[in-house]
Amino acid sequence: MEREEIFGRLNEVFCEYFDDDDITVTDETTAADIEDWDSLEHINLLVAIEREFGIKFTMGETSEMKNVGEMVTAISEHLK
Amino acid sequence: MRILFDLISEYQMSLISAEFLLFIFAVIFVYYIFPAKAKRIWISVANLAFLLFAGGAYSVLLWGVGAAAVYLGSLVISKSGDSLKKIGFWCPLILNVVILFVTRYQYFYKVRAPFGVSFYTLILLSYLIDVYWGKFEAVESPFEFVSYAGFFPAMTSGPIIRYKEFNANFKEKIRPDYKKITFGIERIIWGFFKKLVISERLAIIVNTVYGDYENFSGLYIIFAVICFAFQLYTDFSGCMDIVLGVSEAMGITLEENFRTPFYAASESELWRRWHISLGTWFKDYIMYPLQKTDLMVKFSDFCRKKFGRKAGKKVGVWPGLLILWFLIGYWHGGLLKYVIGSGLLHACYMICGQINEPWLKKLHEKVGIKADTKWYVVFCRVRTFLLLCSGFVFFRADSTVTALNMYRGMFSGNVGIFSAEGITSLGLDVPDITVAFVSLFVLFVAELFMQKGSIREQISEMNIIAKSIIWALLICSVMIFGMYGPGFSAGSFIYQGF
Repeated sequence: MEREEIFGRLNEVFCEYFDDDDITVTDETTAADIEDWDSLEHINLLVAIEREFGIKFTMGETSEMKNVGEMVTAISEHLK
Repeated sequence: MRILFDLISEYQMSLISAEFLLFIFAVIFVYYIFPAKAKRIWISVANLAFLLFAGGAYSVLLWGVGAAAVYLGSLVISKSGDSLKKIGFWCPLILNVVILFVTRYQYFYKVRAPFGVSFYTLILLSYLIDVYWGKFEAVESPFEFVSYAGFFPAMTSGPIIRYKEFNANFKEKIRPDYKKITFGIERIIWGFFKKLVISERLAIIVNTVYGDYENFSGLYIIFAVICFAFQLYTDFSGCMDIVLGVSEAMGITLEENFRTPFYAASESELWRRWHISLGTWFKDYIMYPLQKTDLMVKFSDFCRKKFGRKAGKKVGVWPGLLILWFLIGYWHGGLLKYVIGSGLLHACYMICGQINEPWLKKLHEKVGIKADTKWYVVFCRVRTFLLLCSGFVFFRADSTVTALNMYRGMFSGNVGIFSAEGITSLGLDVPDITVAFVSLFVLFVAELFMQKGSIREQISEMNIIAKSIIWALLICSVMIFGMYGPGFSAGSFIYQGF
């Protein structure tokens, strides 16, 4: 799956999870850019992403992702 | 030999002693003479020497056992197959947790806790878990490991450093850097100012009231509770200034443990600014794995169905939040007063904050309050500070019962503290109270500038006369107003006890 396709699907997950259709995620998007994305929401968001892509992040990845770009890289690694 | 051993065993080096200043001067001096490759060997030697001076051979031995287990276990994890990986992970983990429980919480035997055990256990476990999770390969060099796992500035009260963050400092050759060394020294002086001028003074008021709370009431107790918040903050963050300053002078940058927490406008923001490394440790290694378990994922799904998407998301994390805060409180000393005051009370505040958020938003819209107006932000900051203080009543009191009695005494309506006799009955005379308030004002102004970035950068951009005056004033105030010297022994750092 190409990065752009992953970004597209990921964006839908973000919009649905945070109930905000105006969200557009980029490589640099971090938790600081999305109002409700705090440490409490982080795992539930990841679970929603895991379900969308049918993957399972490792615990190492879970606490290492610093921005959406790293998230997309991790997803594409799992989809290989 | 025996006398020397006894001397070392009895001697306890503190971060606020002349001996420690001499120690770090010698360590840093030799550190920069050593070639790059030998620097971590030297840090390892300094780590063991500090632990020996601060906690005796007993602390070195117990730290050594825990650290050796993690070092070997992590090598097993990195170098072997799946079945051995689990042994390499669980054996050192259990051993370190047992050492922490037996020595620190003392449920079974009365034994002395090794120096810094609460902090270095979390440092060791973070390394072990990170290797197990595949974040990086275990290091083979014992010196590389010991230089991190026993990093001496962080042994007293943290911060709970992570290997990746620590190791990043050695990616490039460390050379003596004038800016880093002077900035480090400046930060150490600032730490001494907070500890010796402010914290030690406020400690007298706090000790007077908490030590004899039955004879005080009303505003006397409230005043002491507020003083304790400032005492603890200047004590703990002052200690961190010394720790981060020493590290900076060695060319090692560590993550901040405090970011002007009294400027936080909400409970959740507060905990992103106060004792940051502890919060992120429990979040990364306890809360995240817990929330990822099938049981918790199912519970989250259930909550979303039951309470709707928006509310369900919040309710779904509450069990994790309560467990997280229970453990954070428990870590402070295994007593009920810590579990309440440094744990569950704050979890409840956060949960209440989430429950109240929707209707408060509506109320604000109705009444016309804008969340970003200055006075409203000030109101939120004061409210957050008072909530923090409410937990500190438990934290500082001898027991939960004492804390509850103090709460009862608080609302008696005694306002006598506003008189000259009232305020001077708390152990400090008028000049000392004046010094305490002026110093707190200096701290307040300095932290206001810190909101705009590094205050040392801002000062370094001033002309030579202005910056000389600022630093000379600070050094003089520590020397003149600092509470130290013959006949006075500055108390150890509060978090050193944990």
